[in-house]
Amino acid sequence: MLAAASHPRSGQCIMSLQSTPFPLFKALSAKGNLTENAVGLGWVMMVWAFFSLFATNSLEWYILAPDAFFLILALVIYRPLHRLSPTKWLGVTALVLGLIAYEYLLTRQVFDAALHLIFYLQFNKFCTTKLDRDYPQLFMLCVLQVLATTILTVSMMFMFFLIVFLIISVAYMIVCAARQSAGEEAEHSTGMFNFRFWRYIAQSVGILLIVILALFIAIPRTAMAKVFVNLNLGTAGATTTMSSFSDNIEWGHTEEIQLNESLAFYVWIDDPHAMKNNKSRLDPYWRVLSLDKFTIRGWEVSSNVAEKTERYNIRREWPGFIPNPQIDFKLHFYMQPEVSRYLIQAENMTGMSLARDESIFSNLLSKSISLKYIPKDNYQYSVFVHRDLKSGAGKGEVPALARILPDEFEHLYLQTPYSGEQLAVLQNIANEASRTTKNQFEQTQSIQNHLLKNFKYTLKTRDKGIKDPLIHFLTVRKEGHCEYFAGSMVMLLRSVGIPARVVVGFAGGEFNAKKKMFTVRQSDAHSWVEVYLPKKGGWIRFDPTPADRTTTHSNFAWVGKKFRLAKEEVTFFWYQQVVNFNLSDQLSFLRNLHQSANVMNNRLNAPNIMPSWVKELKIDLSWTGRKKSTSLNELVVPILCVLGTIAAVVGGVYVFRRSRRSPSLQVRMQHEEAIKLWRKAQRIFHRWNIPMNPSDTPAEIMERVNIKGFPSKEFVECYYSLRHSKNPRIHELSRFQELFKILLSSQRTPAAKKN
Amino acid sequence: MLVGLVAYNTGNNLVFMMLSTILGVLTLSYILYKFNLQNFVFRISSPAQVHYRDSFDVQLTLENQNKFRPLFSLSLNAVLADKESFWSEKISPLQAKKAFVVHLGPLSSEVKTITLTASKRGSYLVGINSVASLFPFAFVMKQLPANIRNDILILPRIVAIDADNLPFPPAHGSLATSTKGAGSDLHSLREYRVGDPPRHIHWRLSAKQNRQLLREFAQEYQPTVSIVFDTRGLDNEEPAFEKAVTLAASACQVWQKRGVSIGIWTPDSGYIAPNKTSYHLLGIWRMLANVQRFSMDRPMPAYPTIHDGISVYIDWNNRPVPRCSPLPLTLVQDNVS
Repeated sequence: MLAAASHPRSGQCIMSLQSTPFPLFKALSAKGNLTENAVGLGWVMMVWAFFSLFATNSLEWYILAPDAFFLILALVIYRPLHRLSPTKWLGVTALVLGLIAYEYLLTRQVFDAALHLIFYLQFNKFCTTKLDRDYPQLFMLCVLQVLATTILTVSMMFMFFLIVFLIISVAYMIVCAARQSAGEEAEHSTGMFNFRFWRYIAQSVGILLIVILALFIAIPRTAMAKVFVNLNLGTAGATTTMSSFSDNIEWGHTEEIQLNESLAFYVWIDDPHAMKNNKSRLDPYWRVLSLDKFTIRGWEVSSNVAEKTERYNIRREWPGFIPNPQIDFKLHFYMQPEVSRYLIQAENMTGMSLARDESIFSNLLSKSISLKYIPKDNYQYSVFVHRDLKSGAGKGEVPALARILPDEFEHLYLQTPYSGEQLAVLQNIANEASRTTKNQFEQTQSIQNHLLKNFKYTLKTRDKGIKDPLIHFLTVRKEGHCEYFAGSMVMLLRSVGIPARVVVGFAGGEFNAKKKMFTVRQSDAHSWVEVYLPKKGGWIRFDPTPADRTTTHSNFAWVGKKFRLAKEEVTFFWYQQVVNFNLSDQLSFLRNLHQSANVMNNRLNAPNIMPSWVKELKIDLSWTGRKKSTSLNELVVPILCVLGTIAAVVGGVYVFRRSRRSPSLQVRMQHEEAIKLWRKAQRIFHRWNIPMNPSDTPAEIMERVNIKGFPSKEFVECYYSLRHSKNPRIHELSRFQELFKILLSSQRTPAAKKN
Repeated sequence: MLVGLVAYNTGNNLVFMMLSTILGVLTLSYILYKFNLQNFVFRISSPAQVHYRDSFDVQLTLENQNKFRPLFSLSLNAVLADKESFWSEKISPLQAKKAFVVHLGPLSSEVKTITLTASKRGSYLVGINSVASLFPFAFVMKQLPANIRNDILILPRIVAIDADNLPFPPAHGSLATSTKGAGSDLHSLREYRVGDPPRHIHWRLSAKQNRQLLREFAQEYQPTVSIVFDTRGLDNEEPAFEKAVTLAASACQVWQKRGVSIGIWTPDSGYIAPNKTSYHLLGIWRMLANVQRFSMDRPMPAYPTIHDGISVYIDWNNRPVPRCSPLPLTLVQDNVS
């Protein structure tokens, strides 16, 4: 039985931890045996995989709380749980599965239920670990959980969690492999932490990270459509947005947002031509949606406009749109979680590219693009922008971004709740401001200038108790924030028959000229006006708010601001280089490599480097079907590379084989030392009158010496090993020297002579 | 594959990162697996012979000869087996135990001791038949066959036997011998010749007879027991045969301690002449360690003619006592139980 259990071919070795307590510190110390080390590391791995979910910043407490409970339970009462019989565990499992099924029936959230299931399976595997296969199964469950986190988030914090998880899980797998190898000795073998275990782990993980980075860059990306269109594992969206951008905005919403300095989104300008001629001057107005209907309480999208929303299924690229690099350039948006359901647009947007397949809702009239849900994780996408800003003609294929207002909808943008005296007030103000204008455009500009010059900007409006804030703003207070300015301008224009609408979004942001990116915060939320002027091409933007929206004001202290900017820069690098790494980035990476090789080649081809006769040599490559002939200097670099590689390989093999044939210097020194000592010993034997013939072997001589208590056999073996072996045993020479000293100090005359 | 499918389906770069991580782990696993179990040596040290059912220690010395690379998770499989089953996967060895080394640093050595139990007599091999490692992640087991072994002879079991139940040859001196030899009893007198030891001269008689007379002594009597062990038997008599071997070996020890010369006869080894030295006893044990039972089909052997002492027949299968000269005494286990 013992032989069968410990046979090397047996696949299982049943270990029992029933008698092993589970103090965590002992398990993770040199005092723990291999099994305890595995259990301790397993618990740490589970905990860390659990904490990685916090990186998503999107899971509710009722999902995480029971799972935290499982983890604490596993630590505190591990021993009694480990003693439970399989029947009792079956009962517990049935109960938990029932609860999870009930939760699913209530909430219909597949992902949440799956997450709970994974947590319970981890808990079960951890507490019932008896077989060798239980350890890798626990590992796979933790990997599955981390994978779930990956699907939910693009957060840079996740990278940190992943690296630490990598370290812990590598250590766990190594300990489990050692435990499996040890078999029955696992409970007696000294643990893994009494040598430089973590140093080896750090070295291995360092190599692993390099390999992972290389694979991450090398694994080919595709632009193909999703294979399983309807397979989505994302959770339901958030219910509210931080920006409060929705179809219905009441007075005062902007005030709270503009006090919030948290990040809203990044915009990275991907325009190669800008480097040359700096032509991609961008007006930093980031459009969200327009609101057409005004009530006394605020602005909203009317039902007539809302019903024009159409649904599109975008397979990562807007269907039918092919960007022209000479006319269009790209803007990459990286939205923070819960910013808005609406996708932020840029002026003159002609196309869109999403990171994943989506169903989007596009409205022709309000010129908005929205998702089905408010994203709970970082959301990234790209838009194509027409380079010719002056023409303002967005002639792309995207129908939702049309600048033309059909006649049947014009009345929606002339709607006003005012009548009688209030309407007259508005008309008077508008006419007074645009007395000398000749056309609608000039009239609009005059009204805008009137607001810019005669009104002040403030966030403190004190509208409590005011029945009609807008009229009060125009007639009495004459100070307010962008909502008031935009709303007022729209009402003034509508009162004189010019279609206009309020547009909400963001404006400005911190511009980093080096990285060509905007950092836009919640405080950059803004409202402005779009006026429909057919003779000017359609909807034209006006901004009546007197404050400068392109600069940001920060109340952060200098140190805090520096830290915040540094953190945001790193975060942006993460989005740009990792999250947004796609096929075009891979191709550009390869192009850069190719260009570097060409640069090197060109330098070698410089006139003063290569002799003329080399350049004149032609080689016929017609057999390749590619070129008729090419000069030798074009092949210098590849030839040198090939020759260098061959030389390195041949040289390496030669050195390797040479080192194996001939003994190393150290071995040669040991040979010589052994010979020297043996000759000394022979001289001593000669003094002792021990007969020695030239043909006698050391073994035969030592037999004749026969000193009582002296290990002659070992002495001879050491000598043979040092003298003749290419790989003498470690510490052989020191042992031989020790025996020689004993020989020297032994009696001069041997105890007995052997005939 | 699942992760790869998810990565390409979603286009999520972090899932690609997970895919890269998994592939990287597989790559690292292969690299570490490849470079483990290289450039090391091990030696074993074990006794040359042990008795049946005795435990003995086998010392394994493992040396890592790499300058920079440590070794991890080495599992050395020590076996006690015969030649056929030492490397066989189909035949189980007599006993197998593993010695495990968690970590062996560069240019370092470690000694492990394994205790094995001799569970069957005979000539066996004890050593390491394989070295394996599941390092690093137990995805693949790397196993190297090894051929480090020593011969070990498992001698028959020795049990305590009450000497009163054993037949003994007559006590010293009760039978006189009539031959001259190296003894202390006077045998005869003769004239002194040149070369004879002077101290044996009988001076009194020499003085009386006016000639030098030399004492000659009688050969001392040497108690001798010769064991007649017929190893032929049926297949179902194996347990009885083993008991007979144990009995023979144990009885030899008792006799040898009492100064009795022991000889033994078996059909295969023939007659081993008696001797009373411990070295001779060891030789008898060695012979008994390898003795095998033969079938009854084997022709009747020629039993020996024993000249000195008594002969004892090991009756282990109730067969008639063979006719040999002199007629042997019968020794059965019951006699000595």
